[in-house]
Amino acid sequence: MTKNIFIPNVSRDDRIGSVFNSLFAIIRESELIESETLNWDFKNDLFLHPFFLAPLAIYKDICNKEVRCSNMEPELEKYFTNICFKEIYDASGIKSGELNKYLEKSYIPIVKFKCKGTDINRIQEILQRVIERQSRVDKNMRTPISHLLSELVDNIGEHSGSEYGYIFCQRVKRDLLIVIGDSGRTIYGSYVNTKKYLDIIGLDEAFAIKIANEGYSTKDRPEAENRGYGISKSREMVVDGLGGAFFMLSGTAFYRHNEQGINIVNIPEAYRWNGTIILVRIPLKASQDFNFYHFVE
Amino acid sequence: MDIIEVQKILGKEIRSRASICAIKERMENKGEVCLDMKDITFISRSFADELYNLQYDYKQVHFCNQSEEVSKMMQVVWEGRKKKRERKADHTVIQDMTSIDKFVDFLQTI
Repeated sequence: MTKNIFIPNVSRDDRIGSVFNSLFAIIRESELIESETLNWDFKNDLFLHPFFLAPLAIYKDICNKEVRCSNMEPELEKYFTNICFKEIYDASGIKSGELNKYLEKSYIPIVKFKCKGTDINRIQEILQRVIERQSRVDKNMRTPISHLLSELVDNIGEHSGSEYGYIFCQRVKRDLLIVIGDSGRTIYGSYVNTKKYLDIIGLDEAFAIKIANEGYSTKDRPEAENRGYGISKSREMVVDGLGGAFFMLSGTAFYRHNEQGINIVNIPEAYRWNGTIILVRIPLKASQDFNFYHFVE
Repeated sequence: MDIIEVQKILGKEIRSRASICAIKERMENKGEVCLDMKDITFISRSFADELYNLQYDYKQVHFCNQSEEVSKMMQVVWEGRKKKRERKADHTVIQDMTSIDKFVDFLQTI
């Protein structure tokens, strides 16, 4: 039997917390339903925030339930088709030019890629070219975006054990909202898997996300602490360098860093995310005094 | 000395750490090697770190024709490898919001 869940309108409200509240509520409701078939009812929805929509699409892709979407207004239906919400765009084997129809839009499709694929470099290159051209991203943001995508996507392949990774990007006003996620073993799971730092982490998933953000890697070389820069320095670049915002959800740990400060939170078990999602907001143009190399070591 | 044209193997933008494996394969059974970085427009911090590991492990590796951006990334990362790692201390207290109501209330404040 198909169970119906109403999806709330998740507006352009700058208070990002309300977006996460809606996301967690829908996922929890979907998980609690034992039926293998769900219907997400989008009646009355006019705009759905990218930080709500992309994780929801990823959840739909990994949840082992058949999820149908219904009652969309025509504009929303068209948007959902374009962002490949109902069936995420598999970027394996993507060729240059395949995404040209997005050059006039403010978003790319929600993309999945094989973590052990040989074309991860090319996939990112193609996506980034589209993002830069469609949003007329200032040239001083090219290297920061390359860095962000490279490091955060690479982390999925290096640490998550996930078969697929996911990327989404949409321009909203004068910002890019980027979502990068996986359905792998979580930050905490990565430390458990490699038996690193367990004496200080214990069972605390938020502590694991904290030290990951401080640069403690599971894969340093024996003679050097050469890794662990991907999350930590990317986050610093996004927030301190670019004035943006950084959110991370992994297992039952939630991390937020923006101009108001940092929150590191152990969240309810009912809201567990089986994998890791990073959500960042960055401007289309960096300030004059931004120096990318201040955030590289 | 053997020359390996990196762009022909990995493309113009090298973003993943694992890309180094393809270079190592090409280096097998070779002695002194020069990695020709011509036409490479971007390397990630992680790949620059792997290049450091490469020249550390295989002493007879040289590099040539790096662009300004590639040179700069290699320079910054390699200099960092020679220094003691320093981390920014983060004194943020972890918050326990394992109750749904508490977490929902917190999210409404951000």
